[in-house]
Amino acid sequence: MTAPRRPWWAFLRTRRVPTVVIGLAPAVILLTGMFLLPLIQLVTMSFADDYRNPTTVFTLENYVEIFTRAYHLESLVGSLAVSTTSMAAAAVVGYPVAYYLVHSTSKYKSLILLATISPLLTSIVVRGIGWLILLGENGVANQVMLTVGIIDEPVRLLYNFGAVIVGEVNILLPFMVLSIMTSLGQIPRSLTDNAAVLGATASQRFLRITLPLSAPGLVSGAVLVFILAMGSYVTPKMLGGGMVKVVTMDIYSRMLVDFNWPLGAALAVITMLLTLSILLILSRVQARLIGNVRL
Amino acid sequence: MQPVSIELRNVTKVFGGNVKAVDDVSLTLEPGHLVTLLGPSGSGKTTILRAIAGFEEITSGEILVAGNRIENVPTHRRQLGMVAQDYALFPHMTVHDNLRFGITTSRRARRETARISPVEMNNRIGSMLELVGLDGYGSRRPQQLSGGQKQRVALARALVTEPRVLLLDEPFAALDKHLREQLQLEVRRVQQQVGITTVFVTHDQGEALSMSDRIAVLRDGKVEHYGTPSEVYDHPLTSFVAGFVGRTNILHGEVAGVRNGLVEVGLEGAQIDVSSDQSGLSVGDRISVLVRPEQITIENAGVPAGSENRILGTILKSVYFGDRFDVTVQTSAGVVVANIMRRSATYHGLEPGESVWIAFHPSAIALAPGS
Repeated sequence: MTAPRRPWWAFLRTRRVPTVVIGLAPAVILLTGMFLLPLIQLVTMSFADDYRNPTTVFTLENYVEIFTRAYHLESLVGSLAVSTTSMAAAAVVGYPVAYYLVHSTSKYKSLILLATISPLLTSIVVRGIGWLILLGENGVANQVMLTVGIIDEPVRLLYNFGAVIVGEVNILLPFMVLSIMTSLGQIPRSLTDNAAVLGATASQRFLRITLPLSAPGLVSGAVLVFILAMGSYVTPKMLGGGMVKVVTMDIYSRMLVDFNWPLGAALAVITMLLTLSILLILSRVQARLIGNVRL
Repeated sequence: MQPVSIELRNVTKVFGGNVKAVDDVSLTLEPGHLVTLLGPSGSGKTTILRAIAGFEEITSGEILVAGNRIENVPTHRRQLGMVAQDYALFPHMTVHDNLRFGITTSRRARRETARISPVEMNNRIGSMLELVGLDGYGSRRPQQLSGGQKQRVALARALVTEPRVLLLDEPFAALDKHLREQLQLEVRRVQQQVGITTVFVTHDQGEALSMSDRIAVLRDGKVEHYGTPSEVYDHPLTSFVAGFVGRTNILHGEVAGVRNGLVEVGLEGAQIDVSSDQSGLSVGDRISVLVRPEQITIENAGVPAGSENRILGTILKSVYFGDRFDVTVQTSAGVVVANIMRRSATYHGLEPGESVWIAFHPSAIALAPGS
């Protein structure tokens, strides 16, 4: 009598393949195919010399071009400026909101939370149009200020750096607030209570206990906002009106207007490296602030 | 620092309009004493502690420390030390910095402006860590410490600021039994060495009895009994106190007669004498008789009557505990539990179904108003 034939998928049943491997397989396959391989191709492409044949000789030409042309540098600096400013503004605006949402016992708390995350419920374009209506020459903001008498003639609120920041913060604030809330919610009340017993005033308690211990949330919120702002395209385009140059527009034009894919790829690589370095700096800041703390 | 007194005068705290967490509590804590607020959860003991700490505003009444009212003094100016149940060590600071935090902030809160030199700072922190037995742990982080060590750091941090009052909020709750007993002795030693007036909140009666100068037994926001551990244990004022502090047998009866220092109590099917200097008792009053299990002896039903109170009963069960038996006896007056030490002569042959006398001395009984 012969042993029954093992089906081809029998290896899945053997104990030699840990479940974790099987469990992770779909994600690994997806990430490798859709993310890692294209990324490698992008980096390779950024060193190609001929944009009509983007897999030729190895060259640094594209990078030299980026760092010698004011246009590209301007767009990189523009992106960095928009992202860091949005990040800082979101932190300053978001922290009090998160603090309130964590500590308040008001019945309107959930309503305010809903209002905070509501920007995530509509499309970026629709929100952009909303800001155009609000901030336009004949927009609501100007009308109100004219009526109240703060100004004599309409001021230019749109198509500048400030308008872009307002738009970005509006979209990205929920990420900041939710992430700070997570951290704040984990700080036991007994810590600040005990600090008070030890003689610490409200501001000392905030600066020396609450703020450092909420740094992980603040930092992860900042990282999220920075990354998302670096990659934003629609908002700077709609609210900046060409007056604010960002690297996403540059990449878009190089790749889809000039069809210079190697140059666009090099810009993308530099953007990625900039984002990574900010990420590293922020995690260093966090480590410096509180060390390796688990609450 | 000279030990200070604490006084609570008619302190009441109402939550949400109608829940009285603390109901007209008045207590005086002598300077240097460790006073335990003992009670089940919801008895108001934690609320009183939080009120003294300033975390909770009281609805009415006065709190005085060293004779001065403090209800309107913010927490950070009350000069307190506190050990919380979760120790509340600052996780982002080393042990040294945890102590230093208290020194700098408390000095500022007291408006002490004289510079404290780094050497003096280190000396103060070092000697405090030495006092709690944690020499050389200054550079550790709280996460690197065991539960018992965290507790010691919390105590050191509470005392290093030289507070006037020490608050202990169930500080032993998270520790295992062995460590708990060890630290109880140690906290008591340190407290007496420093001589600081201490408020200790716990629901553990054993802890309360072994550590306190005075115990306030609380129930539903009211003080049921305030006295020394032995007063509370031996002469509980109410049947609740008797039942909560240690185990006790409660027998219900009626006053049958009162004559110089002795009260005759009629129980169901028995009459007993109780030594009592309690006045205001008259014949016919409903009364509770409280007898500790260890005050009861068991005698063979054949033994002739002695001078003690005796009630006839039948053994229901007998449980072995190593050093003693817990014998449950059904009597006409109710079910009574007796602790019979193994050394005692009577422990032999305590079999269920056996007919026995339970006996207790008139002075070993406390009386409480009957229900």
